[in-house]
Amino acid sequence: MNPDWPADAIAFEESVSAALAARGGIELTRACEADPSRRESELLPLIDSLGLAEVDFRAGEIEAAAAALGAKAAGAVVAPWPLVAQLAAAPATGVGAVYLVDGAPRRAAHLDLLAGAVAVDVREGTCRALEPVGPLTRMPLDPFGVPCRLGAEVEAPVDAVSGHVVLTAFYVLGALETAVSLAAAYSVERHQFDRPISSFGAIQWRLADLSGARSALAELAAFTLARLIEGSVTMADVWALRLTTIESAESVLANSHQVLGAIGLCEEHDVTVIDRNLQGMLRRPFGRAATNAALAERVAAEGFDLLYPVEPRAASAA
Amino acid sequence: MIAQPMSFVDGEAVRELRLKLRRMIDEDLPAGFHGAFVSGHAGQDVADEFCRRLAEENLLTMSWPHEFGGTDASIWEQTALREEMWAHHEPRGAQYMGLNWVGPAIMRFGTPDQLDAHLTAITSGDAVWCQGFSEPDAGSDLASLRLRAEPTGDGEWRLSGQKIWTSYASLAQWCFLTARTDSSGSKHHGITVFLVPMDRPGVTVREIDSMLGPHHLNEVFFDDVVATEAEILGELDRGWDVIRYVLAHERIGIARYARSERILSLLAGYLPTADRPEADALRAAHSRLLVKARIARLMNYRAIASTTTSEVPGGVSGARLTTTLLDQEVAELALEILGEEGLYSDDLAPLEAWVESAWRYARSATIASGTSEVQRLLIARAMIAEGSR
Repeated sequence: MNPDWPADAIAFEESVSAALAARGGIELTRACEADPSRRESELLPLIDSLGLAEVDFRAGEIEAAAAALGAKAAGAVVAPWPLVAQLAAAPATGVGAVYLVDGAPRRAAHLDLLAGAVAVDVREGTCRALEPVGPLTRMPLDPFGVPCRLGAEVEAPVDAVSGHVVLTAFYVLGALETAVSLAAAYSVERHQFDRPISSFGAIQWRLADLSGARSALAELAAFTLARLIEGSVTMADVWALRLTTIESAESVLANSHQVLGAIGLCEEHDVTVIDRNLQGMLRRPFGRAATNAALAERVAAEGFDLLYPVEPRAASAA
Repeated sequence: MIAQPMSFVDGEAVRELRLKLRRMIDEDLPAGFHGAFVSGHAGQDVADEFCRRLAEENLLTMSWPHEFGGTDASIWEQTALREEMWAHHEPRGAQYMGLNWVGPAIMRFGTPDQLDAHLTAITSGDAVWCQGFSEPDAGSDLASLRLRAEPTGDGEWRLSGQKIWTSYASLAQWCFLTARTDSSGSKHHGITVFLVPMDRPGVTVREIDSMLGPHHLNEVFFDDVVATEAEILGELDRGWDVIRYVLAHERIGIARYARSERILSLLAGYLPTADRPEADALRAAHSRLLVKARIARLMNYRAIASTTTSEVPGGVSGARLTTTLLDQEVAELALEILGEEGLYSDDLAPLEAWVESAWRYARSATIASGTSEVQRLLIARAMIAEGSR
């Protein structure tokens, strides 16, 4: 048992965070929303200089941890780049980006940026080329969506679904940590009734709950990554993490907005940018109810590993 | 660089320990054993016998240093012991307090005579302690305690007052008692800890009937009870130091999540078949709680690991809050799944009537050992302190 991160991976996260902060952090995300071409002119050189997209999560513990913490650092500023899709890809096989889909998607985020994208259908298990069919459409909850269509069937990269879900969890975790910090700091700065709002029990209650939701995702993401590295991860593990990603995000974002009040709804506030930019990741390939159903199905089929494991249904019926 | 990779898998020693403990539980506990919280002394008698078996195997006080009869077990071995015990109705019964924090507090603050008098009895599985902390007007605000200890002038003290919610008081031989010895300063000053035998004249235990079952809740009255100077643990008036040490030792608390995991595992066999209209909803709810149980355990592991590495702000309280809320959610789901039969406590009840007792006990999960409100306050305070930097 050792729940601590490798020092090299932590150092990598710090270097990614510092580089993104030097380019403006979330301000760069705002700039890219206003002018999507800045993703290539400003963000791409930064990612290249860090070697962020070249980290191979399949190459052992240190690189897997670096990929995860790199995704977390990018998520902390909701960096508008298909980093998870890129990290889950396998360039050696010609796959440049992995998207998870449920049937035929109408749009995919940042599909205009990377060649060789594929869509892995999480229900069917099939993998097909994913091609852009139009220019990027800017919408509040889908700021970088690109119209797309499915192409020819291709071979899915190894661990594409599990890797994608795990790396997405870390990207979202980074964003949630930023939201938590902003909410906690604001609760101290903001005075009402002649005292900081952090002195009110109702605000403290919300701070505690958003902290718990953040910690839940942090611990389960690390655990699931460790299982992925060990080669013992199951689809039940994967959907468990996906469900927690969705639920933790909803709790942290909703509670952060309540602490921040009206200011947190303004485009000039980072929580608004985080909230809008995460929604696509939380709804694709499907949302909470479908994820929970997928989890229940996989638990029945393959069991669930606990101190007292749940056996697969067939085994327990026998 | 770290010495070993990030891993959440039990090491070899912990795996073997778990197997050994499960074997002992299978072999040494009678069928239908539900812990010491049953009427009369029968449950604790079984627990005492099991403690002696653990002692024979050097497992009872494995967390203690060698010099005091322990084996210097690793934190993960200690964790496995807590988990296996709690998942099986805590077969150490009332003795867990002596092992977990009374003994360590005596090691830290005790005189040589106190070490001699108490530690051997605990390591051999022969001593039952209760915790005389809470009072009618001192619950979460423990430092407001008022039970008086007055010096008699001849080296003795007279204890007068009342403790309440004292678990196992009617089974205990000893009380780890906090008393007010000076009221002139701040409320954290002037508290003194006494190690008092429960059969001393003037000590009266009154059981409080509750939905939790026998032995959980008691009142203990001290009417001019005589205590000696030699029974003071630590320094006079500096009992708050001892209390803080005890609370720090109890910081992780009992491994409720382990019991939740075991109940969830057993409940899988009672989920409705697909032709029932509620099947999908209950399967979804069950699988969701499996995830929450895993998370609760991981959060506890992080809190445990933070005793040796950097502390997550509010991490211990976060783990406790998550664990206690899980306890209640699992109990509620268990009754949902079992339906009417889940209410039974007789031979007709599924799972040996474990669910109904777990459900009743779960009502106390967010109250005992620090309410969920207090845990949330502690988490928030840690965050606010971070936010202020």
